[in-house]
Amino acid sequence: MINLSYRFSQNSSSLEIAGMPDVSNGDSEDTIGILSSWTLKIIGSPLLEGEKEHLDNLMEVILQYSRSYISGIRKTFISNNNIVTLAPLGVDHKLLLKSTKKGVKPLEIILDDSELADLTRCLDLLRFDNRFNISWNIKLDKPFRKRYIISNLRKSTRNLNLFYSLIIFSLFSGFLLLIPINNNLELRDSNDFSEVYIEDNKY
Amino acid sequence: MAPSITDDKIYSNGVIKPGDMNYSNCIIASDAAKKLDFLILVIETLQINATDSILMKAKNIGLSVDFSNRVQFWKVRSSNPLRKLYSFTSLSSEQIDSLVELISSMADNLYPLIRQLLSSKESKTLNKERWLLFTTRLRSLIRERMNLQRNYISSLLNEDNNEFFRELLVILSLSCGPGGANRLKASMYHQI
Repeated sequence: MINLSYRFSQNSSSLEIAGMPDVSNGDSEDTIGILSSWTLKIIGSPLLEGEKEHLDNLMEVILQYSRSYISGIRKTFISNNNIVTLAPLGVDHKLLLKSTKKGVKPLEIILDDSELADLTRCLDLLRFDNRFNISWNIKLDKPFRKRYIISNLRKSTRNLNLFYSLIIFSLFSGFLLLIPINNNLELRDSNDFSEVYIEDNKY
Repeated sequence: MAPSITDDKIYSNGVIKPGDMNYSNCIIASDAAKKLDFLILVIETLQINATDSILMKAKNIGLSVDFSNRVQFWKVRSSNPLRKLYSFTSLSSEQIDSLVELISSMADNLYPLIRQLLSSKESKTLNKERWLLFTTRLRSLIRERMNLQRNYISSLLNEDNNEFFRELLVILSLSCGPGGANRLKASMYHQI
């Protein structure tokens, strides 16, 4: 049996996939159709390894997060069986990996924007590589609905000008209402003055 | 509560190609022209004479007549309503596809520089110097080409506001590589 291994490296991330061709599926000698193991090295973090299911979960979360991030949305994504979580953490991103083995503490990795981009590129290289004949459970990069984007945008980027202007208008109107008005003011006819003036000139 | 990814998982390696996403039920995002123009502006900031490289790349990829010379390219970019000379036209989906392909390809070449600017693990002093150089040059390009009477442009020229520039760099970093163009293209549309 031919064992194959391919590596995808992008600065801080290095993903290595090992497997063999699926002869029953007609794979060529250099094609991996059955994934036997994978390892991911992110500089400054422990070596990650696992089975296809774990890689599927990791790809699912990272690629969905990046897709949202490119649209300006920063929100938490959790994989189907809850083993991979990626959440925004200040300007960075927190990757939380839970082991399927009992007694193993979850691993937390803080990624900055450049490391997230490296990891995304690594996974992109894998999913678009013709040397793999493996189905990945990943959604296509599709456009979001406008309402979804607006509801998920960071508060600071929301356009609150209309809201602020309404508040300023109501406060100003309320202030004007508080100014006392003299309702007993008597308006005198201006003709009275002119008459007096004329009478004065007679002398 | 954080959302869980459960719905339609349709991607399968080797079966669906990068450009196979159907955009028939989508409309072009209202800020697409602005975003694409600013991304090219960042590319121009990072690379001197980037326009020549972009036109050369467009020729190599075999893009349409819109990218045959500087004037045609400028006409496409003038659809950004924040420019001094705004053409009151909107971008066609073909023009968006071409621009996305060009930006993705250029970002791929400039990835090491983009990465350096986004990295928080490098020397802070060096990083600060790089950002100063980058923002100074980008602001001078904005001053040169954008309508300074717009409040939005004035806010970009404010020395303390680098958030939008960082956002643009993040977009460029995620637009690189084989899946990058697809990701960028998806962000330029809205589903109906």
